[in-house]
Amino acid sequence: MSLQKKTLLITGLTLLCLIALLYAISYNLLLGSFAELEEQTTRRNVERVLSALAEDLSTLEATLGDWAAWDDTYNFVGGINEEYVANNLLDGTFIGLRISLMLFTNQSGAIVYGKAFDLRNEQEVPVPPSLIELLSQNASLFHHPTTASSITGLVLLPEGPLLIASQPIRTSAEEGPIRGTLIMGRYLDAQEVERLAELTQLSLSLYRFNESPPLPELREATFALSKDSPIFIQPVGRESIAGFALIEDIYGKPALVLRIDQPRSIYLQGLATLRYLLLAVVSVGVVFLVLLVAVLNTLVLSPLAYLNERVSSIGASGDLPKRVEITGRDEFSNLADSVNAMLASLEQSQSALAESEEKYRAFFKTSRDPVFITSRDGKWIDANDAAVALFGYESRSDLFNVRVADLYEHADDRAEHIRHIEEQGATKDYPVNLRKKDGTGIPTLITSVAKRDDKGAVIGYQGTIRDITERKRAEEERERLIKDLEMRNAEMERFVYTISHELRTPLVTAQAYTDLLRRDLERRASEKVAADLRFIENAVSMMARLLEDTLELSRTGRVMSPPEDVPFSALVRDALVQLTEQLKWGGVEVAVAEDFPTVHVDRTRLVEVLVNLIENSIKFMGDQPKPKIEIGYRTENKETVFFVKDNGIGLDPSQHKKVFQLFYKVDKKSKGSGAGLAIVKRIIEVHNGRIWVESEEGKGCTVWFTLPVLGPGTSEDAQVAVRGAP
Amino acid sequence: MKKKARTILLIEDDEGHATLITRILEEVCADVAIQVVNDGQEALEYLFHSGKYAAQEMSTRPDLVLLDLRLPRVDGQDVLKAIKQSETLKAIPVVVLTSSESENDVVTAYRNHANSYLVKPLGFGEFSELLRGLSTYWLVKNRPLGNEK
Repeated sequence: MSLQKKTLLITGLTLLCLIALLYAISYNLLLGSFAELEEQTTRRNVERVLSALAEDLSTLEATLGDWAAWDDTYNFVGGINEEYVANNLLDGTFIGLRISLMLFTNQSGAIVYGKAFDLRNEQEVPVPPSLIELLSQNASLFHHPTTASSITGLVLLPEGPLLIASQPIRTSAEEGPIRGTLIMGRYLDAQEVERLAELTQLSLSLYRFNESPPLPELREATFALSKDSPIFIQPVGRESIAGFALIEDIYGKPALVLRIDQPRSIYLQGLATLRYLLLAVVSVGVVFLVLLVAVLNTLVLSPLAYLNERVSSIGASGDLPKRVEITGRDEFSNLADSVNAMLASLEQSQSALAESEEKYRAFFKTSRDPVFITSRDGKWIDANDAAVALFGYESRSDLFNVRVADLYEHADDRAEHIRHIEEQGATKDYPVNLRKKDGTGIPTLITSVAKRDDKGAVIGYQGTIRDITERKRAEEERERLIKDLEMRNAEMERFVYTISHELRTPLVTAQAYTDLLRRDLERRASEKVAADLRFIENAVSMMARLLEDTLELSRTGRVMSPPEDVPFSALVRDALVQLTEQLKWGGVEVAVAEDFPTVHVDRTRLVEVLVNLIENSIKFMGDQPKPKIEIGYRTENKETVFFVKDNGIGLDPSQHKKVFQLFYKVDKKSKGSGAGLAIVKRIIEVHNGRIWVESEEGKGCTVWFTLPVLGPGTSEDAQVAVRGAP
Repeated sequence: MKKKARTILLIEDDEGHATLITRILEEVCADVAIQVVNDGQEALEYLFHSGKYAAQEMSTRPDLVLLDLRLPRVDGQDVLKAIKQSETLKAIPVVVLTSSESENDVVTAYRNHANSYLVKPLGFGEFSELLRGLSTYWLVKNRPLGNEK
């Protein structure tokens, strides 16, 4: 509801209430007093009628007085004046005096003369017998104690109500003795009532008291009237008001009800006044209302509407440089100034915000670190180009179609990650394995914070991802190198101890026998000298051999020719050529497989390996009548494994590893230092191969080894590793 | 000293050393029988009466074992372990006599309950001195456990 409508409604309602109140008050006050005034007037009018009636009666009494205190009458009753009737009691007398009846009685009460006259028809009528009867029943009218006595009043006759007066008949000098009574009567008939009405200028009517009243208001009046409250006022409808008065007869009994009716002019005037007042108030109110609305419109509503429209249009368009203009120097212009000031500061902060937004946006976009914003339920909200690139997607929209949890290598990891963030508010360098579009794993460290809404509930997460693939690789490489180095160190340590131990053994022998030789020579025990010397010689040659093998071993791995692609069969051929004499001497049969693959090796060293292995086989043939050596290969799990197999004395399983130890000799009496297999193992390992023995005592021996192979089953890793070897 | 002959089992793969030690021991102590075996396997066969020593009379229970560590076939440490784990043999004092000064070897030997660890000295005099002291200590002065009557 607009302000205008509200103002109109409230003011209108208030006005309406005020008018209603005013009307109620003035109705009660004004009309109450008008009604009272009206009643008083009516009462006065009733009283006027009553006094007119009394006046009538007193006129009758006065007339009676003239006739009763007259010698002629006095004489007439005394029977002396015979001509009295003829002279005085003429019809004209009745008409002139407006009397309907004259009765002359003597002292004893007997009627001397009586005459009744119908004033309307102007003719004599018989004296009503009802009156005679009434008089005979009640003699008070005939008995006047003094000459000054006079009785007036009303009697109710079947013919109608009669005003009556009675006085003693006396002399003109007002002296007695009283000769009788003179009674005069006048009917209170319609004519008389009309006369009274004319006299009082009022509308009159008379009713018998005892008659059952035909009108409701009359009935009410009859009920209300009594001796104590002889006047009763009652409005009859809106238009007129009636006044009632009780009239008693001569004996004091209620006889007639007088009624006057008059228009309620005062009351109606009051009503009209009230109506005018109301009209005036309503008119003033309406004018006031219209004026108020007009003023409100001009001074408040229209500037307010303008302001409203203006501010909303600026708000809708976001055109902050626009301003509100209101002239004048009232509250609205102040408000407009305030709005303008607010707009100015808003514009300023908006531009500052836009600037910083732009700054951070650029930072976000161009950051080389992948930056992300995701919702709590695992949808993308934003990501920069680095993030898109990290996951290997073509575009942001491409990436945004993927659920965030699906970018974890294990989808469950996200829940765990989120739990960490929410528990601690943020995580720094949290390790997570993510997944590229093509499924490649990416080891990362994620630094992120939880985004919360105003109530503190988590709505999402944002942070940066660090791809540590390179670092991880470098770490693994470092670890591998460290392990390798540790292994080499341990090997070196073992090597040094082995050397020192092995060298110490002939040294102890040489030293001890040198001392012994000296002693034997001093004691001239010449038979022992040769033995002593032999021990010394053996020890020295042993030392020489050890030194030579040690050097050889150290050269292996240090001095290498660049690897080349050689058919394995060529290596076998070279080795067999070197060993032709020994094989022939031992009578050993050699079986060589065909279609060997090509290997990528240091040719010289590999020939050395084969020579060594074949030599060992020849050496440990034992008493085998048909010594045989097989050289071949087979493919196990896509890996080519070469072997040299003999049918010699074999080797106990407990020795299978030991034989590769430096200077380990299975047979103490055999020639050599026991470095041969150690050197073989080292050459194979330099080629990233493995070597092991399968054998049982008495059942021959097989030495297996792997090498980097070309062609089918080629292992590229091995090739690279060999190339990279020193 | 009226004593019956003592037996020393010398486990030594190097011929020169074996000859030298035998010779010195024969010089420094009387009534001693020296049994020489050349590798770990043979030593175990001797001690546990198996292989070529299967017959009881082939091998006498030694009163002292001199043990080299780096032996062919069965390593010296394994021989030591076997002796010390055997209920019947563990009372025999085993003296490790080796040219290895490796700390690792020393620790392993004592862990395997070697009774003593000696490094072969350089020079005949020193060697004689060592073996004299050794034989006196282990064969004369030391009172072994149990079945020595």
